[in-house]
Amino acid sequence: MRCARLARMAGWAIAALLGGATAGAQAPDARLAERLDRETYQAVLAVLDSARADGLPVGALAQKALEGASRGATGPRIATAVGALGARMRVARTALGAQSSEAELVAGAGALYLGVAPTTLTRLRRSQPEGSVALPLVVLSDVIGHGVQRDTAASAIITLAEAKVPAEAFSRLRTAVAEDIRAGAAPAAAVSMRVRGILVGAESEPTTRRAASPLPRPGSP
Amino acid sequence: MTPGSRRPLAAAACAAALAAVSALPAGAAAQALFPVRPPDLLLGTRRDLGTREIHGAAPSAERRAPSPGFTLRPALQLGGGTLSFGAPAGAAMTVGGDVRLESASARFALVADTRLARFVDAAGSSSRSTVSALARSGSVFGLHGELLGAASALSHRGYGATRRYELRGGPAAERGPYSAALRTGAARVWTGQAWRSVTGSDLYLQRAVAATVLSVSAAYTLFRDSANARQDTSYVVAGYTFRGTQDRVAVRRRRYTDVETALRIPARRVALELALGLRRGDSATEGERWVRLRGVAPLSSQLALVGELGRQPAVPEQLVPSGRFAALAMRLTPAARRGRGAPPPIGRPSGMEGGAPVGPTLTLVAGAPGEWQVRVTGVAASRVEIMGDFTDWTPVALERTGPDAWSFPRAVAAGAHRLVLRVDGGVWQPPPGLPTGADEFAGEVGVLLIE
Repeated sequence: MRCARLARMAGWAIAALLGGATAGAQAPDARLAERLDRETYQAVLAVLDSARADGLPVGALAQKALEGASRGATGPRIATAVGALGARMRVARTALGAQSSEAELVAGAGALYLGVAPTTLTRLRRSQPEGSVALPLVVLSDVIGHGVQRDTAASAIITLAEAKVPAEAFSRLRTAVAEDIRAGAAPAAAVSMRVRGILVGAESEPTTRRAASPLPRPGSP
Repeated sequence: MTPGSRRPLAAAACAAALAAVSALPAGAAAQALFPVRPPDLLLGTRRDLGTREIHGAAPSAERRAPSPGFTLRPALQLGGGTLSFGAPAGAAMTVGGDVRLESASARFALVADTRLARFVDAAGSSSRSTVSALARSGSVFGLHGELLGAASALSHRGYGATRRYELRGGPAAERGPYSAALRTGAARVWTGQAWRSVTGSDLYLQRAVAATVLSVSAAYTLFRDSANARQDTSYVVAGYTFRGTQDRVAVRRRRYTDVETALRIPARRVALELALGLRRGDSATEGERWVRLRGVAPLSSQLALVGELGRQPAVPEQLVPSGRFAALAMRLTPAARRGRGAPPPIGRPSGMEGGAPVGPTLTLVAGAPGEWQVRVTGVAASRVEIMGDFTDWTPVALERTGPDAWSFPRAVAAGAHRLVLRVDGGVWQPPPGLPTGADEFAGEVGVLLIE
């Protein structure tokens, strides 16, 4: 009697867990079904299922489809974008390692979209095997978006990462390079000069203080 | 000091006053230590008027997400100096302006500039106006094609007006710190007396070492020159001399090669550029050497002091003589304006070093463990909306918490979030101060990274 009760309770618990998991997995599908047409929904669902089977986080993929729907993109364009993002996330995971966080994979996929080589992601990971490389990758994409050639930008970011500069140094680099380019500076020279300035400043700081610097909050003074 | 020579100094003083009036706060000035790089300060008789500036200034046509819109950058220069081009040096006040139009995709750039030098000894004025356009192809294996067109009009006191229409094209490549371009083309030149065809090629190599840029260029020019010749046709018959002459036009080819090396060194508060050039010509074209030194000292993010002195080589096909120059000017560069498809930014980005943030700012405030509150300040509007990964890309109106402060009504979890902001129903655009990422759909989004 007692064993049957325990078995029933275990069964209900397992069912509750499975139900919750299933509900969580269905949530993005439900939102997609509401916002996409049937054909696009099926195409995106196929991409999500494939990504899920590969162990990729599907949240970013679903958000890409929702973004496309909000932007008024056509169904084929949405499906193509989601599929391409999934492919880039796979490449990013290969380059950054299977233990990479979703933020790192999303940031890595963003850098790959701009033509950054996967080897750059690998070198970044090697430079920071313990810490997150999401911020350097985000800054890399931003700097390339401001017109810096990707080889130059990648070299700059890797240099800073290998020098173990604090995380806020990457944010400083991004802001300073953008200001310099707005002022008319050549993008390559702007990033080279700012990297040199950061490294010179980093060399004068104690190593322990550099390692303990917290991650910055965007926009915080 | 003669009264005539005081006027360029007065012009420079007026320009300095202009600088004082338009100076930005000290924090902003500290931001803009990297110099601007203007086109020729003075009249400059370079053959590739404007085209080299386009090549050096436009960002490389990398393989990036195509984004709409363009950027317009006007600039104004006021100053004074001395010029001598085939005549004794004369003091002159200079005024000039240029406009640079660049597409966001870096595939197209247009530069129009004009310079006027008014000599104080009332011996006339000199002017130069140029329109240059550059079109770039996509990049294949690091190689892309470039097509440059330029039209210029130049007049020097007492030398008449010349015009030049030029078209060049060729491959260009950029890899790491190296860039190179090989261009071939032709030009039609009006010398003030006749039209002349000119052909030529130029090779441009550049290497960046940290912030220093070293460039070497070689240009070969070929044109036909005509000269009136009087031939003596006298002959003798039976001891009698029958004198005669015949006028004819002798046409000959002339060619010359210029090699120039330039070094750009951005120092702490001034950027210096030193150029050394050498010309070797044929029997009809004199060889020359020249040196040019330019310095740019930014005073703020929009104002810079520009100085230049040296010697400019002649342009034989346009009958423009060589000359020496020395000048100083203030260059005012208003903020760049974005055109159709690239909406105006909400405001200046936040996070200025050494001072409190100015303008719209997006901040995060810690809430429950693992959650953050998104707040936007510095936006005076009636409605602010946000849309991104944490809203399932559905527009959500921010709640007003102050006269220009807004707050997102839900907590945001850690992660990498893509988002855009809209003010008063305007265009969706990346929030100011955030890194931006390319978007496959509409251009750019802001990236909010919470770890």
